[in-house]
Amino acid sequence: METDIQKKILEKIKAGEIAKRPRLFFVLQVIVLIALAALTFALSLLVLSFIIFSIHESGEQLLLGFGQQGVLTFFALFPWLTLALVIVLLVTLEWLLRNFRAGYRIPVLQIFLVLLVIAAAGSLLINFTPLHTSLLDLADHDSLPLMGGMYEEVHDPHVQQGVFRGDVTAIATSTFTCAHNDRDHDTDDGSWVVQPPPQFDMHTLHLGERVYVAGSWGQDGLIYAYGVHPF
Amino acid sequence: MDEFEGQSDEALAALVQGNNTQAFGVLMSRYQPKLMRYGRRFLSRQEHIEDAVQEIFIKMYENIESFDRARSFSPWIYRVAHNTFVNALRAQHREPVSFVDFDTLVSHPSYARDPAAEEDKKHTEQLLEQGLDSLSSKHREILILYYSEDLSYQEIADVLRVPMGTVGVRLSRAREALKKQINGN
Repeated sequence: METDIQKKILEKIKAGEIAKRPRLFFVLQVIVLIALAALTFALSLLVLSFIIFSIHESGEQLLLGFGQQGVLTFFALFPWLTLALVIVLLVTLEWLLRNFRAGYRIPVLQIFLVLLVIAAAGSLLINFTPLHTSLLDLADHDSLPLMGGMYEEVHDPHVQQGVFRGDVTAIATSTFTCAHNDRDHDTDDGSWVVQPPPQFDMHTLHLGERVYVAGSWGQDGLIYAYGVHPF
Repeated sequence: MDEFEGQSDEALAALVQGNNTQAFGVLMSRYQPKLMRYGRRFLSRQEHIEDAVQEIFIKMYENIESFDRARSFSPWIYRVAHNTFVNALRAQHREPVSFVDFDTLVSHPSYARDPAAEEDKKHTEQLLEQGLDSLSSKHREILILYYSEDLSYQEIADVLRVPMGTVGVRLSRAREALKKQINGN
């Protein structure tokens, strides 16, 4: 028996007030969804691989070998905001995937961990390619729009946190001088006199060698390092 | 209309995809009582339920081309109904918006049917008539889908878009809540 609701709807269909969406609409919807998911995944790969690249390029992983103070400085310098962006992107990706059967059938945490592992593995692979080095090069020549600032920060010396990078320009008995000048006149350029930690063997240093120094400024203008490592 | 009597819902949906509005009328006749009953678990006022059911039928017609004929029709229509009723509930501010269902976070053991639930089915069906109203809509809905609408775990998982293990856990918690509710009264 036809009810009022049914009658009303059938009349609306006859009058053309309600129309079926064409199959193409749903096909396009799926294509857009897949494209968005792919874009989100690519973006998360790019950002996560950039984190790995920036830690490696800036030498900050060396801090982990400088004892407790080094580990604390490593965590202080870690790009947490960028990592938060990766997590937001992966959560968005997961939300997009939940529109598909395979997406909602897997528990949320499980799928998130799978995505994280895939993204981490992909990011490591990307770091074997010259992608980020080329982008950094463009940023150094002010030719990288949007992401330029992000790449330029890779070379920031983090003087406030007591981190310096440069080439050894002079070696004295108990101190050495290191300087950095990449001719781009930005904040990573400078020259510092460093007193290495007591157990450091000065003979391991060579002129022109690039070093990573972690320490603190003394009132005498010297940097009293708790860690020095070539990189 | 008699010509459609023996036809499955899926066959009727296929006819609607081929522009047969009579078949759509038959599908509406089959599902209106079920959807009204389902809607009563979300909304209290009759006119709100009728409005929502009308909206479900409109969405069903507009989106019929997205229905995959190789699959069962009832989870598809209940998915449309679930979204419509949940939106109606939110519009009335009766239900807080939940972005994460915590029982979907981790995996639970999954069965196509829970033997304990099967055994308990008759008894729970009787309890359902007595004390659904004070249960949360999450618990009410899963009990209705399983006991009244007779959907399988897999179909319920497709309606609610949750892992199959979550269906088992949620159903078991809903049954417990229902029993507690009835014993408390």
